[in-house]
This record gives sequence, structure tokens and C-alpha cells, in this order.
Amino acid sequence: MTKRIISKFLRYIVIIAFLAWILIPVLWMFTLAFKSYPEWRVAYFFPKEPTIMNFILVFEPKQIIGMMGATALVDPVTLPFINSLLVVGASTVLAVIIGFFTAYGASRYNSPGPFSLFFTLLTRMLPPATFVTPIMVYYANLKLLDSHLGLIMLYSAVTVTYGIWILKGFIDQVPVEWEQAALLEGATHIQVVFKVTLPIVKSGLVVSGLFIFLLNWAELLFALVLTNVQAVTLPVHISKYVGAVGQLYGPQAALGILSSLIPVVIGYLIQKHLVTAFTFGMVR
Amino acid sequence: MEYLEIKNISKKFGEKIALNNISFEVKEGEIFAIAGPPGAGKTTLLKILAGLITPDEGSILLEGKDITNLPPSQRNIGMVFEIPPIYPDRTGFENIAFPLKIQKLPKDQIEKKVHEVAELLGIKHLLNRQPSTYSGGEYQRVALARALVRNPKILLLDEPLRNLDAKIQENMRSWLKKLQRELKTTVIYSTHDPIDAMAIGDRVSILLHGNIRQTGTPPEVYLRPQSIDIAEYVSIPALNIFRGAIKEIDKEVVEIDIEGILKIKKKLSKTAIEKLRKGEVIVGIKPRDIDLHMGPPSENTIVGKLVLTQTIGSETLISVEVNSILLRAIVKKKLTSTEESKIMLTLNPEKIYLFHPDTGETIYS
Repeated sequence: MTKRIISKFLRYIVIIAFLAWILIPVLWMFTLAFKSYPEWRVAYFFPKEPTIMNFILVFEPKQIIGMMGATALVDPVTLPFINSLLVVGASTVLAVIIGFFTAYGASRYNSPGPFSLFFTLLTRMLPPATFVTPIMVYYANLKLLDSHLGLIMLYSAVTVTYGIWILKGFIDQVPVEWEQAALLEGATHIQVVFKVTLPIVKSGLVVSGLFIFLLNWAELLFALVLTNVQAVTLPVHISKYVGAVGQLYGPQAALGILSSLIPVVIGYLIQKHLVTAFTFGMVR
Repeated sequence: MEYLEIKNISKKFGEKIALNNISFEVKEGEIFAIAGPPGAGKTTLLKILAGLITPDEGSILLEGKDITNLPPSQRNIGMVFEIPPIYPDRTGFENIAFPLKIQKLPKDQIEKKVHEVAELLGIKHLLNRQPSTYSGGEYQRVALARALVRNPKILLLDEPLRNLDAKIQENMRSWLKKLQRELKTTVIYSTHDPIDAMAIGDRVSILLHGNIRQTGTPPEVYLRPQSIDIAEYVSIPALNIFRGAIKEIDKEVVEIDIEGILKIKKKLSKTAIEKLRKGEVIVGIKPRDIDLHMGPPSENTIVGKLVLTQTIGSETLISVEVNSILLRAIVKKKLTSTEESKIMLTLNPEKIYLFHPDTGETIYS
């Protein structure tokens, strides 16, 4: 009896320690966002005088001058926010679409052969820092620096491999007989892809989409090197708050909360798919 | 001219011969069962009939018309696969309506046809449910409805009962046979289970290693298998197989010495004896043809040691050891002997099978 209580107790300790390890930085960010300037660097958890000033500063950063003597200026969060939505949204959709068709070919026709499919992972094997410079040179020549299109192309190219591999797993699970039945009933091959397989692996599209979205949403290095003013994304924008302008921990934390809102909302909206994705919605 | 004629179909996958010179005919309105162990080529054969696989050689004639090179969609052949084509992301109605939607039928007609077939198959309650809520039998019924809604000329059923448990299997089989009698649809039914094939088929073909080995009515195939491999395949529980020495003792009467455990006399015709000139024979005895012997030992009595008993419903499957040879028998009478005790068995010489030692061909008297 006591042995069971002890083991239960130990189990909870482990779980709590694990959760704390993951969540304390997030909680720290959360409370920091509501702390006023003097409290930013103080090592206690809860703000003494909670304020929403940091959130206002994020939208009207001009007030930062004078308040704490920061010399340089950052822009309002609005443009980077819209940029991030646009760039990440478009590159995710692109990566999922290309990923689906590549995965379909690989799964059903073993094309382009397992060898080359494996090498789609190459961009994820190299540290991004190794190829960001050549890309910058290319982009400078192609006039793609600081452009939405440039980022969309790059983001979808480096993440499409996840779309391929995740979706291949899903398509592999769809029995080929399900497609053959439709062929027998008069469907064309194109109809089979769009009316049979695609709807069945819908959850896979959503899951790979979410995964790719999260990766791109938090991407910093490429955006930092390849954008400047027009196409600056949220992570780049957030990074500006510490550095040239001083150490604006409060507004940075507020930005962190704002930027996590989108993935959280998306995740919440598609959680139904996340569940069916793992059970695949069928009984064998 | 038969309704469906399959002529000399062969198919290789790489070096492996999947089907070797297959020919048979199917009559309109019958259930034609194809039985064979897993890997025999049943699914390949059905997929060739459906047009999903192209044969290397041979032709298929439906109502006298060559359909060998017709695409699957133009053959009007329905097929229910072992994994039933029921898409998990849509309701029963949407699944059954799928082929009609592909044919771009007007909505009210689709509605009408789906409800008709659902009524017929007794699955109206499944129309608005998601497949994840179906039982195994319900899956198969919906799959069948989907195949039948187009009114196919031939319905191919590939191991439709495979994933169901025994009781539901039997229920579904009776239901299916009754339904077929009403609809009069021509059905080709494949199964790995010879009992299943003989129970449902009007005629049965035995497919072994890509060859059609025998075609006939269920009693013909079960009682008069043409060779040892067919006899082994259709016999459940497994056939007892022994080596026998044969000796002609009288005109058209031979004595067979079965591995020293029993000597039986059997009447054989001249031609049969002619085939067994070598003096050797393979003897097959179905466990069902051996029974307990009561009273004092007589001719055709085997005395042995009971080593194992297994109750199968009202019958008992026993293993008996005679001179270190194992014999399986199915006993209908109440078994009083216990394991490790002495037991006496008897068999009817008329019911044993004799096979040619080289060709495996069955030799009937």
C-alpha cells in the first residue's frame, strides 16, 4: 500500500519536473510581459504592479524614447505581423500541395525512387547557416532580397520535405484497392486522386501543414539575412528589441505572447484533425 | 457459349508465375467459387477479370464479347475487395452513392437507387453513420451495396468474409447466398477456405499455385478430388497420408499394406490396377472416415494408443499412435477412453483414397 503511494508520488514528481522544465520559460515570458520597466530584470515571478504598457509599446514603439533612453527606434509590430502571416501562410500551403503530389507519386508509383526522396531531406541535414550566404548572393542578383516572394520560395523549399514524408505515411495507409474500386466504377486517375485519396488523407494535410507552419513561423536566420525593411517577419522583429535599441525585455515578452497567438489558435481549430490523424478514423 | 469464358489466362510477375493457363466458364446467375490457399493467385485472377491487371496471355469473353482489353470502367463488373472499399471519411450513403456520382447521375436518381439497394440489403440504418461505427459484417454489407448499386453484370467477391469471426461468417454466407438467389446476379467468389467455397458455390474451382486443378460441384470436388494436393486442400481436418504397398491377390482385388498398421482389401478395376503396377501407392484417409470400433477386433480394425483429444462441438478430434505413426480421426460417438489408453478404430475401405506415388493423381476403383 505505502509502496504504491510512494511510487505514485514519485511519478507525479517526475511529471511536474518535466512540465516545469518545458513551461517555466513560457510562464516567465508571460509574467514578464505584464511587468513594468523597473521589474524587467528582477528575478521574481509575479509582477508587483501589473501593467499592459508593454503591449501598447509594441504597437507604438515611439514612446520608448524618453521612457528609458533607448536611442534607436523599432517599427510597430503591424507590418512584420502581416508579413509573417503572408509569407508563412503561403509557403505552408505551397509546401503541402507540392508535398502531397510528390508523396502520392512516391507512394503509388515509387517515383522518383527512394534514393532521391531521401535526398529531399538534404536541406534539413545541413546547418542553415552553411547555405544562407549563397542564397543571399543569388537573391541579390535576382532582386529577391527583402521580398515576400523570396522568403516564400525559400521557406517552402526547405520544409516541403516534411510535407512529403508525413503525407507519404498517410497515403501509404490508404489501401490501393480503395482507389481500384473507384477506377472500376468509372473514375479517372485524376478523379481517384482528388475524390478518393485526397479527402481520406485530409488529416495528414492538416497535420503536415501545422508542422510546417510552426517551423516557418519561428524561423529567424533566413529572414534575418534576407530581409531588411519590407519583408521583415515577426522573429526578426522580436530580435530587434534586444540589441541595437537596448534591452527591452518587457515589450519583447509581449511580442512573444502576441506571436504565439496565431499557432495556438490554429492548433485549437484543427485539434479534431490531430486526433483523427493518429487513429486515421477507421477500424480494421 | 457460356456467359463468361476465361480462356488460357497466364500472368507472370517478374519471374514468378502467378497464373498459369487458366481456363474456366461461368454460367449466368450462378455462384462460382474459387478456392485456394493464400498466394494461389485468386486476387490476381479476379483483378484480371475486373481489368485492374492486364494478363500476359489469354482472353476473357463476357456474353461472347471479348473484354480482355477493355478498361475496368467499361466492363460493368463490380468487385468487393478483401479490404472493402468503404472510405472512412464519408457516411454509408456517400460511399454507396460514390459510383453513381462518378457517373454524374441526377441527384434524385442517386437518392432513389441508394435507398433501393440499402432496403434490399437491410442496411438503411447505416446510411447516415460513419464507417468507424460499423461492425465487420456491416462493413461488408455496405461494400456489397456499393458494388451492387451499379447493377453489374458480374460481381467479384474477393475473400469477403475473411476478417469476420466464425459465427458472423456463417450468417453472412447464408445471407449472401439467399440474396444472390433473389438478385440472380452472377457471382465469382474467392476464398482461402475450401469449406466456405463449397458452402456458397454452385460450382467450385480449386486454384493451387496458379493452376486451376479441378472444377465441379461441391460434392464432386469434396468426394472425388482428382489428385492428392486437392484432397489435402479440401480435407479439414488434415488428411491422413500414408505410404502403402499394394499387391494383387485376386482378379480385381488388391491388398494394401498401410505402413504395417493395417492391411485392407479393396476392389479395383483393371485400369486402376494397371496404373499401380509399381506396387507402391499413397493412401489418403479423411479423419471423418475413421470411426471408433466397438466390440471385438475384426477386419479393418486398428488398435492404437490415444495420445490427444480435442473437442470440436459435438465431435471429438483424436490423435492415435499406432506403431509410432500418428492417425487423426473425428469421432462422432461419445468418447469413453482417456488419453494414453488403448483405443480401437475402424475404417471403410471404400472411403480411402489411393494416389499414384509419382503423379499424385487419384486412382478411383
